[in-house]
Amino acid sequence: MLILSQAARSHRARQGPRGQVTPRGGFTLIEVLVTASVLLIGLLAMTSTSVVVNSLRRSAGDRSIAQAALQAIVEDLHASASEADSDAANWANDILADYGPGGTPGDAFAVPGLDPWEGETDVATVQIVLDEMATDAVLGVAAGMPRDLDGDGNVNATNVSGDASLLPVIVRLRWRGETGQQQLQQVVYLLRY
Amino acid sequence: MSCHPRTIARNPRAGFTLIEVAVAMVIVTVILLATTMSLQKEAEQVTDLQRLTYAERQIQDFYSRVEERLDFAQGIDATTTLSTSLSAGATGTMLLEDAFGFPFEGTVVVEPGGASAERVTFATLDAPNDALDGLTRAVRSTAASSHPGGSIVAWEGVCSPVENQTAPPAGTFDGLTDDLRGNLFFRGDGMGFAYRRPVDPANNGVFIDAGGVRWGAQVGSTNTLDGCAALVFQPTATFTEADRAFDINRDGDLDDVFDLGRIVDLSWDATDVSNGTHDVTLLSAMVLQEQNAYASDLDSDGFADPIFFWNPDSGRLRIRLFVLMGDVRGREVVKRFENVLYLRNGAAE
Repeated sequence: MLILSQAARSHRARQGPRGQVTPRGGFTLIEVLVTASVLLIGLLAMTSTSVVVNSLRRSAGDRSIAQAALQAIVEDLHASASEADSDAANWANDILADYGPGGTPGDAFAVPGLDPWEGETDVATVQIVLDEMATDAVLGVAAGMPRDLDGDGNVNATNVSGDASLLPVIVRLRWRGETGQQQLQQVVYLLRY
Repeated sequence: MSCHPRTIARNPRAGFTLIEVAVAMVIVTVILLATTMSLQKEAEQVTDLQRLTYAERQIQDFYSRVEERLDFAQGIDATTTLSTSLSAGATGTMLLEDAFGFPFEGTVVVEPGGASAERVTFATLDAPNDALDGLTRAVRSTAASSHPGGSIVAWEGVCSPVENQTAPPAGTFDGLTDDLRGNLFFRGDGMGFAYRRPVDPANNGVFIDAGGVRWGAQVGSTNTLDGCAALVFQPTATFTEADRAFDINRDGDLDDVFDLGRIVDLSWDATDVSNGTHDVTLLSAMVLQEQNAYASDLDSDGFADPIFFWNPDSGRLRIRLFVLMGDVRGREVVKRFENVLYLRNGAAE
């Protein structure tokens, strides 16, 4: 109140004898406040830019973690296929013992540093395709399916776990990032040799 | 309302009242202070971000360079036995059954896991005689003792899962590490990884001859069938929790001492080291390991953290780094990085 009354008095004081504003009036308090507001808006813009930059950096960091995890899983799948019994009857099952349901790490697991999508419990999922007749449309990826996976020249088996020569594997990573839900996926082909 | 003539005379020149000036100055000062603080904070954040980003880029670059080197490589298990006994005071030569894969300088563990386990640093590899020369005994807080012929000798780089993963007896393993495939008991320090790769000495695009893949290494600029190589952690500085007032391994105290080191790629002529050795730094000194307790737990998750973890059976190499990223807003930042490589050519026989 004191400031406002002073401002009013000041405004009156700058009027000449005939009520005209003098050319030497300087800034009024309202002008100073407007300037301050403009500066504050500038400051807020700077702060929000900083927040956005930080958010983008965290987002890039998350993606980097996800890419490293994806590569690790893909490389490990190849190692698992190499380690598995080369006998056709056991090969796919040995891989499933690692990356199938109940295996270690299993077909769904956490990735340190990444949070799963809302309503989901795991970040990484590994889908080993055992059905020769599954289509890309159903799988949701470009895996070149359907195709012959057991090397018998036919595309008719619904489960090749006992005689597979080739296994398409879909690795997906879904995490909650700074800018929303993110996803990375890759199709890997494991060969029995 | 009437005005005093003297007051009217002053009004055109009156300018601001004292209170106006005071209020304006306070507002301007507050804004200037806020601007200055904001700009300072912004500048600090930009510097911190640049530092973190640069460090992360270095790590990614490191992994790319390792991948490029190991793409077709074959791992070497540098483990052998003493061909003759080694007395407690011997500092000259250690004779091995087979020195293949042992780098031209480094540290070995004799009788790992036993009561007589001793770490010994060697200055030179004498490949023709399968010997390690210039010994410094009892390093890394171990005690010097005599070792009978036939005792196991492992290069400190070696780190692999032990065969018995169900309930290995004490002394048969050095630690338990967490892994994508579950927790694994392992033996070794994991400070390096010895390898060889297909080479083309004549530079005519022939990497395979009648005997199979022509294994070797690039020593300096020379591709040689006699070559061998190793990625190695080399400590260059000491880093104490007390000095930095920072509990690096989050174990609740400031008592621990760490080695801060770089990762180098060593290569040498495995038939005769005097024919050539070479080293390239792949990652500058930003990797942490607890001094005298290599491969120990660095993030208090209850599991050991060797840098290199090699499974010869599956051809799988895990490289886990704890990196000192730098000081961010007065706090040291240590970040864990991990990558897995599948070496399609497995392990050397």
